[in-house]
Amino acid sequence: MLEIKDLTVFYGTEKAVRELSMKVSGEVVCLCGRNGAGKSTVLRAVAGIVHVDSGQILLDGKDVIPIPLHKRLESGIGYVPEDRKLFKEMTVRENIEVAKIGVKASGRKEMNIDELLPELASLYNRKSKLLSGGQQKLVSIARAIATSPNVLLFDEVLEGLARSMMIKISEIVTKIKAEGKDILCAESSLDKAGMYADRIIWLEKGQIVATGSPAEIKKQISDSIRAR
Amino acid sequence: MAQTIINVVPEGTPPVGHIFESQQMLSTFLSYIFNALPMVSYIIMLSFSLNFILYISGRVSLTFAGIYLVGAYVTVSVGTYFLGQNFSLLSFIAILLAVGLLGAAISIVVYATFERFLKTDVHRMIATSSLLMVFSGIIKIQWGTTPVTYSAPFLKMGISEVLGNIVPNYYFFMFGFSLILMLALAYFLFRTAWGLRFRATSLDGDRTMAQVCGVNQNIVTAITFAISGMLAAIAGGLYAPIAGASYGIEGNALLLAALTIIVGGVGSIGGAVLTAFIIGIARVITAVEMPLFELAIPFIIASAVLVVRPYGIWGKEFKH
Amino acid sequence: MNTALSMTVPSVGRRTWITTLIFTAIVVVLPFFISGYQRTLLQKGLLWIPSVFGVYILYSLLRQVHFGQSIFIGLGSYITAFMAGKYSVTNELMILLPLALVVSIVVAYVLGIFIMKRTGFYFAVMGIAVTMVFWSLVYKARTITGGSDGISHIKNPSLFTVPLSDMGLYYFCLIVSVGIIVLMLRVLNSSFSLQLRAIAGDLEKAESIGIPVKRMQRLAFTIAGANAGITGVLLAFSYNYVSPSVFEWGYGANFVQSAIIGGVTSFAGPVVGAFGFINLEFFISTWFANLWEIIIGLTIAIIVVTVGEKGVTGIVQTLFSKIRCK
Repeated sequence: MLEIKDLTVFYGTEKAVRELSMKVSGEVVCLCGRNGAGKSTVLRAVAGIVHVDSGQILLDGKDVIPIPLHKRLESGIGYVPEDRKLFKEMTVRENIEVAKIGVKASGRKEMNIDELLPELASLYNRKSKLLSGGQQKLVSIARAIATSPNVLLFDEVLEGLARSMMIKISEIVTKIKAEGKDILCAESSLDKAGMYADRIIWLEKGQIVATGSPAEIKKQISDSIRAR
Repeated sequence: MAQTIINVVPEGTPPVGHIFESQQMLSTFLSYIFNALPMVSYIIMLSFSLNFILYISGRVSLTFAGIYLVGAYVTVSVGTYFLGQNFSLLSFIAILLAVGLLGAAISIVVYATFERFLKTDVHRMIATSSLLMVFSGIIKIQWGTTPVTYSAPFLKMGISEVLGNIVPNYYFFMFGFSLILMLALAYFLFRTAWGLRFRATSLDGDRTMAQVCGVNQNIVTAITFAISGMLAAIAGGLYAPIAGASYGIEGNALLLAALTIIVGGVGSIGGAVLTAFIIGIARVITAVEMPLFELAIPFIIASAVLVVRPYGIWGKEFKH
Repeated sequence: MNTALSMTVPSVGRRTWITTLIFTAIVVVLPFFISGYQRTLLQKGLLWIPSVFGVYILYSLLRQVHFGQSIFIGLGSYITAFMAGKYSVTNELMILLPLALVVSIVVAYVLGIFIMKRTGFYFAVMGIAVTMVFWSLVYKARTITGGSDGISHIKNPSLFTVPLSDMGLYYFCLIVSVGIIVLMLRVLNSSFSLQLRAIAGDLEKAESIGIPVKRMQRLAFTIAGANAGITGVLLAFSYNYVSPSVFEWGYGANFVQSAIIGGVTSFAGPVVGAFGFINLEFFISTWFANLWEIIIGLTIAIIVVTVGEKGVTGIVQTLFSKIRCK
């Protein structure tokens, strides 16, 4: 279970995330909001990439903030970055291998990549820079789940993909959830988030303004537009 | 800082090839290649010493030139003290490896206590170039400014005749040694688990994502500096029996290493080796035919490459 | 390279001109109160200022480290040594200075085509490379340049055919140096400097808003070179002797180190840096003869680690602003 308590992150002198609290347990939660609302920052804070100014990030009751960036994956947090960010010159196998050798999946149930992402089997020996955008996204996901972390962070995982690929990845996310993982995502559009999220949290200026199922959030937003 | 020209063909050495007498073109050309071998191995190791840090950790560090200086002087002193004229190949290799370890240690210490705190490339260049002054100052206090020599390995290894050229065996030893080191490095990078981590953090990879994937950046950078220091110190040790060690040779090392990166590109071992051959052979030919332009020719090659291919012949475009 | 934008950008105001005036007054009066040897040190400091200003412009506006000022100082010095020493053509400053200026500008422009091709590390090492190439050429062309012995017996200079005394040369150096400072301040206050700053901030963005990036970079490099060329002529006359050591890369690095000591966040930086470095060099080499390389090297390295490029002037500025805040 991932629990965030009073998280505050500064970008320079500006507050990117303001005292944000939320909980993810056994579901797919998606952060939505405009550009600069702080959705990516929350994910990056959990992944350990940005410095947290105050607050707590609890993973199964244990604070992960003191854990350095390179130990986060071992402690059970997998991160899929916004723009894939693969190791371009390496093969697909090596890309996944980097995560596997650095981290022993201590006591967690091994995840079967071949079963979850059968498309990758034929690509293992290809250099990752030669893959298409969708395939690169799959490699990026495979790299994050290879060590079977308990919490997965997906940053705009459907961005810039073809419709069929979006559906495929949404299914993969659902399958990963079925393995008993907590999933926190960020997505800029409600439509995309609606494809796989159980619950949506709407952020504005680093604060939660609404939370609920995709349908509820959509209704709230259309209501507020009508009210104007 | 005084500077000294390193003689490609040192004075008082046994006859090397038939550069002047030979009538055959092939033989002359081969003699150029054989005579270039020490310079080629020198360039390979020094350029990769600089290149490795640049490629793996994206940092500029000129400290390697100072470590090269230390490597050369220590090899001369230790060799003279322990071996004197009683040369044995194994003990010389042992000395080289010990000097390599010393270089690695110096490199790590300088990185951990000092270079780690430098924020930008501009700062790193200025601070490490100032550190070179410190290195050469220490050398001056310990060994003075008169050149020191230790030519026993070079003289005792004998000569062999290859296709009508008389070549000192030491040239082959030096080239073989540096080539083995580079092959070992390539094996490490491309065939081992730690090498995978190094490539993940390199300019070809993605530093943040490598850390997200569990790679400890600090350890990788420290080992990178150690390897770089080791290469530089061994380069100094291997070249010392041919050229001796003299005050101010670090300028030459710095220059050739940097120009080789400009020509060969960042992060390519093959590129570094090929460039070393180009620059080494060009330098030997000019040293014989037009001694005035001996140092100018690597620069001219590098300038030409900068105009035609700004990122080096085998280089990729990196932002660092 | 966002640091370039966050760096405090000085502007030339009334206070700068007043400071320049006070500085000029001090160096005009000072020779009457100090010994002849101290005056030569002062003269050396004055002559270093233009060269350090060259490094300063490239550093503060373009974020480039220019290790190659020794190229142009060497060129100016050897031109002087040939014309007024070895071949005794002329010792007229009004001929030698323009000649050195033209040669420096031409050489800097041509070199700029190659070494400004890439910036950062590559620019820095190409600067080192060029100066070492010149060094090896001069060192090896023994019949023309005298090799490592250099060229001595350079005649004393004359100005409009009037021979200059030592004191006269000092004041001439002073006029040239202050003249260049004023000129540089004007340059730094022009749109030219704004364009260079834009290039340092974001090269691609600068290009997209129509700044001719390559030309501007080369122009800055040429200005730096021209400054050093003039310095070279006067330095050769001050020492009456030129040796290949003017082309050593360590000598070129000294100007970068001076700029760092002085700091690149204030116009006073190059002035403070030039005098600071020369005094440091003088005192350390008299007190700890053997240790001076180590001490200077460590000093610069520690300055870079602790205050970066702010230098002495930067520290003073911060102190002043803290006092004012209280």
